[in-house]
Amino acid sequence: MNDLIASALVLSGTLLMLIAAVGVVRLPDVLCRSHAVAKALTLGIFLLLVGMWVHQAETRSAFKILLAILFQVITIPVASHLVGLLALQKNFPRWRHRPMDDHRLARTSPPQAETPPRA
Amino acid sequence: MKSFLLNLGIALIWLLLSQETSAVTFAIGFLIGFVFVAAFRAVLGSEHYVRNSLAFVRFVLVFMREFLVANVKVAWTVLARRRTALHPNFITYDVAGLTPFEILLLSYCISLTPGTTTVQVSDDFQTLIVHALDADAPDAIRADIDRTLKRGILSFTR
Repeated sequence: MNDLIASALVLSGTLLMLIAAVGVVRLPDVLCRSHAVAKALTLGIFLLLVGMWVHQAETRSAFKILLAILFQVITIPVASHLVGLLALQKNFPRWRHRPMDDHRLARTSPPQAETPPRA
Repeated sequence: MKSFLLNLGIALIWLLLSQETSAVTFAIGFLIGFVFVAAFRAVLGSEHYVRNSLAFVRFVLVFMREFLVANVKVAWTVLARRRTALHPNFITYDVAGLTPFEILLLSYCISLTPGTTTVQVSDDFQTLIVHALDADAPDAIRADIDRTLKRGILSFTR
């Protein structure tokens, strides 16, 4: 029973990480890709580690796995935030970029030439 | 703060009294401590702590549901939607009046909930710039963040 739960958790975690990887290839620009990475990778690693925990069924490893979960779940969204910040500041090519109507947005990033979307 | 230390102290005593020292024992002790602090809240003056803790638990549950929905949506977007169906854009979100810690929590939660990621916090801590996959209705997104995240975070930080 334990093995069954553990395999289900590890498999679904791996599946989510695969989806994140497919998303990095399929989605059109940096910012859209960071959506896939931030969400699917966080839950994927979380499920993978919980699966490990169930599989080991030992209290001594529980604290280490909890720490690993904590650090992963804290750092992945921060990394995705920084990637997004860089993409905004450096004006990386954007998919279907529309002029930004809000003056607060316009202040933080100067208007740019329309970038042709990739094939 | 005092109530939290009392709660932690009871958990510690429970841990030392019981046969085995494990995370589960500590969790049980913490729960017992919380019930104690909640039951005598009028005497201990811990109404604020009890109310905020319950609000925190409620927020964690709401957040977990949002997080799961976000993952299903991202999987759907990645696997099934054509890129021409996406309308990504930036939107602003007003965070005037929140403390930096609340803004940190909020931006973190925005990154993990459906359809939005935080891109930038303005230097004066007044606005967040959020990137949305479907930015056709920015006001609906703002209202959604207001309802599910901002209200929940404010309910346990204040």
